[in-house]
Amino acid sequence: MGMLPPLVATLIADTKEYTAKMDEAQAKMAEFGGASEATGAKMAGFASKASTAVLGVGVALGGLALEKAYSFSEAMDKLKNQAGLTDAQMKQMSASILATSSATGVSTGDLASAAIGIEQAGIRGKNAMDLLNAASQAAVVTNSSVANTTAAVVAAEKLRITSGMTMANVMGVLVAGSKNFTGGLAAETSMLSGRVGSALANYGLKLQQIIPIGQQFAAAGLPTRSISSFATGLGKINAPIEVFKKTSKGTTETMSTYAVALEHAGLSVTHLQTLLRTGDIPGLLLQIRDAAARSHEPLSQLVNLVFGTGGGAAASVLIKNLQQLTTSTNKLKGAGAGSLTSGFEEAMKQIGPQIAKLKAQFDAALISGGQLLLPYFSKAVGMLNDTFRYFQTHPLEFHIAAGALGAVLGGALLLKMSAAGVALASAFGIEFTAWASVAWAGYGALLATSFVSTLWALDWLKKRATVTPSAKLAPWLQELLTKAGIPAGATTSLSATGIKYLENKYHIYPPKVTVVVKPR
Amino acid sequence: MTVIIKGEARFDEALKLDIVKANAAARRIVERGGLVIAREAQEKWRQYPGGRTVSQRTGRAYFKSTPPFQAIRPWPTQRTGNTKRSTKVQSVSAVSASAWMSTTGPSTQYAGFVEWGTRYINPGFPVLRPAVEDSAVEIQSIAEEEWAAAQGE
Repeated sequence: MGMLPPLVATLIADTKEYTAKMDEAQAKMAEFGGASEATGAKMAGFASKASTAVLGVGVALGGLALEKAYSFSEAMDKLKNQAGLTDAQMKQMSASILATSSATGVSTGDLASAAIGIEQAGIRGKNAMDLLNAASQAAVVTNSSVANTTAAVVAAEKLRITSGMTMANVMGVLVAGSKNFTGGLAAETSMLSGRVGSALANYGLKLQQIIPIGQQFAAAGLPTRSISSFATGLGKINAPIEVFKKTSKGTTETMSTYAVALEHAGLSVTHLQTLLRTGDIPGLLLQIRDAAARSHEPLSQLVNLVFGTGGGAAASVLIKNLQQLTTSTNKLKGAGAGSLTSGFEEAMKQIGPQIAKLKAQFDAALISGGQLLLPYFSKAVGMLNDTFRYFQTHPLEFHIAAGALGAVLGGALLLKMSAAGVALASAFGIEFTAWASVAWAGYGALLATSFVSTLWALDWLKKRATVTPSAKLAPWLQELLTKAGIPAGATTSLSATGIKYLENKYHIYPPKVTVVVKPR
Repeated sequence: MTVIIKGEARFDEALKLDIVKANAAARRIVERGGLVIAREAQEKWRQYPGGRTVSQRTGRAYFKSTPPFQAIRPWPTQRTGNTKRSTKVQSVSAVSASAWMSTTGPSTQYAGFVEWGTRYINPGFPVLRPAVEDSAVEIQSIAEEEWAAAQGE
């Protein structure tokens, strides 16, 4: 019996319209967050060109400076412990990191992590600092992390294929090579640190020769085994041509079977050896291609003869892309410290790296200033620890003193830090006035919090200086506040008013319910 | 206009929570709506004419009147009661990030013949379609109730 499909009533409730409105509101919030962040970056600019009007802000940023200095100090301690540096080396490295960060816009935290990798790879002293600087520049050019660029140089150094090159030169070659490398710098590093890099390095090839070959292999996606066989083939070319045999009449000298076979195929083994020793792989492959053309033999047959059946596939890929290989090799001959610097200067003309640099400069200034505050802070922490220890053994006194304790200790800490705040203001190049300490106490806490503080600070600046804040309330937020009846100058909680507003606005969008009856 | 605004993070969280609550409400609406349709559909069936008795000893059902039972339009008359009993909410599932769907109906294979008719049963005895029509007002009120609850939570 033919059966109908089951009979069903399908009921669908769709909240798409409502969800879309909520998503829209969320996107607006994100947009607003972005606007306030951009304003924060502009404030960093103000700090570097501080005028008297910015003094209060500069001093109030002490809390942030303290946090930054503490994080930096922690990162440097980690570097000291993991890399086993002396105090003098630490001081040098710390200054170098701050200077590099200010110049390139790479954060001090990232640089400290990269420095650990460098020191652990056995690169010390000036070389380490040069590498850090070059790696930071490369990170800006390639838009990758400084950890990745450092890893690329460390991989090249481990292969010992960079003799006679400075760290900046090595980095310059790696960056230039990464431009045509499928997968970029990360893939290039992976090639160098893997079996391909070591196989090619074993036969005396240098960095500028290995990278173009690696580029072609990466583009073709060849298996590592095939590439290793190609490298073994290079070794066969380099092997001695003569074979000595002892006979009853003495020692006779003959050519090796391999050399005889190549000569028969129209290839001069000594010429191939010369090309290989000078690292001219494109020239070597050209010889093979020409010999195949002359003898009218299939190219694959000749390639297999030279490199063996395992390495023949890899060699064929290189011969097919010989023009590209030659161009890349020639390009890399001119790469080095100069190309890295020019690439870096070009990249720094873009707005992203410029903002990153501005932020890093601001952070470096905060760290320098915050380092002045750290001793006071640690003294205050010590004092608190002693006090708590006392109250742990005297609980009754604790209950009596608890109310007043916070205010007293807080006041003492504030007093100490206010004095340091003056020194911090000087670090920003700010002229000190009498009300700075008041600003420190009053505004510091407010300015330490998110975008609310940023808006507030801009308003504060607007009233006190001829600075026009660029952060304006987004139209949707203005509409929200107006509808919620929030007057200008008020303080409001977005979580309460915003939700009430949205509920009033969007409650008209209950789920759309549809019912359909049909055979399923 | 300068206003100091606080609670950005909490607001953002609340927006996310609102979406979750709306989604949960949509699920409850289709679940409860499906139950209403099933109930309405079951109520449409006419009982056995003359009733039946079930033997205490064997558990077998004996009908007091003699089949075939004459149809009395518009509602179908029960024979075994399987189609009526099997009319349930068969599934509740999410069909997109913002929508839920429930399917309600009988699970007997011949239910479609009764609903839509055949060349022998012409016209059919629609049960589910009138049930849906009769449920519309109640489903709407469930939707509003669930929505208000989700907004007020």
